[in-house]
Amino acid sequence: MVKKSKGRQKIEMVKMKNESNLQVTFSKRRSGLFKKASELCTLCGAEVAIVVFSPGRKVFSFGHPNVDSVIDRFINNNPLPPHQHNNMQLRETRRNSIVQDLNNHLTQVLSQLETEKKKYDELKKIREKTKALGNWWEDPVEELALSQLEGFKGNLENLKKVVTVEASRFFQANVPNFYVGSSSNNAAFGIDDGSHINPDMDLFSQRRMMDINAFNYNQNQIHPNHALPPFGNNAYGINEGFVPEYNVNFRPEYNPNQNQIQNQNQVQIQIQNQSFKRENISEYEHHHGYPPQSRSDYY
Amino acid sequence: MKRKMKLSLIENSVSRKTTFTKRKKGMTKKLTELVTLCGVEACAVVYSPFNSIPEAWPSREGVEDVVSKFMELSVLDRTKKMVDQETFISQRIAKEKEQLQKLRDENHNSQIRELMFGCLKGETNVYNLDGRDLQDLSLYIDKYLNGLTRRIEILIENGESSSSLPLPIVANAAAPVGFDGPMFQYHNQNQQKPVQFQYQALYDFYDQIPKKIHGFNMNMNKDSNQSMVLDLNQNLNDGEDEGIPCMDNNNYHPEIDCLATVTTAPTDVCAPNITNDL
Repeated sequence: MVKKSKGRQKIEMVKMKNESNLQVTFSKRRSGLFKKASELCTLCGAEVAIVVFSPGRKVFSFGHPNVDSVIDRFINNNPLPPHQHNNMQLRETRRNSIVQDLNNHLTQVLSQLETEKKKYDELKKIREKTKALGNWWEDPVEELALSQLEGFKGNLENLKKVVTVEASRFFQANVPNFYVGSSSNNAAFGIDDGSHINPDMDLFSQRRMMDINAFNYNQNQIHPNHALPPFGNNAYGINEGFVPEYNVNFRPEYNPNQNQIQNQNQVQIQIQNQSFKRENISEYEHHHGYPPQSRSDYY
Repeated sequence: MKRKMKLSLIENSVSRKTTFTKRKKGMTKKLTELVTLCGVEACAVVYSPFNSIPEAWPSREGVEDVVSKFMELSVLDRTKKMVDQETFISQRIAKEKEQLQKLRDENHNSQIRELMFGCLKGETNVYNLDGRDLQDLSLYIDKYLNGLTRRIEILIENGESSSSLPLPIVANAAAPVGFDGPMFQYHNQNQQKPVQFQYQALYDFYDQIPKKIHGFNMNMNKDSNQSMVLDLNQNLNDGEDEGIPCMDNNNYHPEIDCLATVTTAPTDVCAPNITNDL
């Protein structure tokens, strides 16, 4: 079985013929060798010097405490460590402390790296599972047909709009609301009604979060109340215009609308108390009970 | 099972000595492999705290040969690639950090991609995300859209260069049902907003009709018989019974006269209205 990578694969212990492979192998193995030497010094307090000439005749060396001191000691055939003055002992202690800190830092980074690798494996499994489901839109872009690309693009643009609106709202949540107590709120509402949709949604959410007074509350609540009734009342109006005798049917038709309004209030006003609800309903009834003149006065 | 070793001096003297012996052997083995595989020259000198005589690899004479070559080089060449433990560990930390950052970025991209497809399929709700995720998702969608756009342009150019017949066929091809389902559901969510907007328009339209209707109604009451007037009175009475009289009257009749007459007799409230209208 031929492996895709050379991990955990035994190789023939002879000089490599491929020149570029030889360079890469040298670089990796030299690094690994120095790593082992460093660990040996840390764990056992040994002094080590390693000198390696690369295939390009460059020299790489590792030493602890340093290459020159170890080599000098070896060449001079000095069996004992050189007599250390207080200054040298102090430097030795400081060096060991620095190395210890670096080793701790290295350990931290390595553990974080291991965590990220686990995460990578999990995400990889998720991707493979998704691919098994056969969702073509998650394939690379180069594998899709033109019609698929265009449909996908449209859907993605819609998602982009929603995400942009949500992001801007998230930002606005941290900005003071200039609409609090301002009468221009209605004007803004009217203007946005005619232009486009997304800001309307945004403004509506802001209004729901406002500390509104009675006037603002009533103003806002009238609109949803009349969103549904227009159909029924419109029919009644037409009947009234053409057949006057049908005026007696006004009361039976009125009840279903009232029920719808109550349900709507319950859904939209979860924290509303009883008096507000009654007042709201009463206002609606009076709109139809009083002459147009009173209605104009109210507005 | 392999145990994670702490990178610090081993406290136990016996354990330290044993580890030294094992690891020294392993290190020299790696040095041998390096020399064999790459056909290079190398040497190693190891001083042990436990032994005053140093270990030399491959041999004392071999070390002396390599060291003499080493010394023949200029100081610059010798020190260019020379590292001590401090320098080596620092370099290693930098390398590992770079690798860590690269892997983190890759993981983050994978997560955002899963998030995007989750939103498209309707499995994830955009409104549950926080600000940072929204911004990252927005950037990723931009990148992906650019890729899609470029791909579409390439296909269109290829289509134009060939005969015009294949292009309509490709354009008419229907997308798989499996994909349309979730996306169609998501598309409906967008459609809800126009519907609400239409409600607003309908309300504006309705707002104008009642005035005309009521005016017409009043005119009929003037010309027709008494029964029509009685119907109007009934409506008024029902309205009063349903609500709180004072508050409602305040809302609809700012005049002081109406407020004063409420306590005397209910029927009097109707009379002034009719008089005003007449």
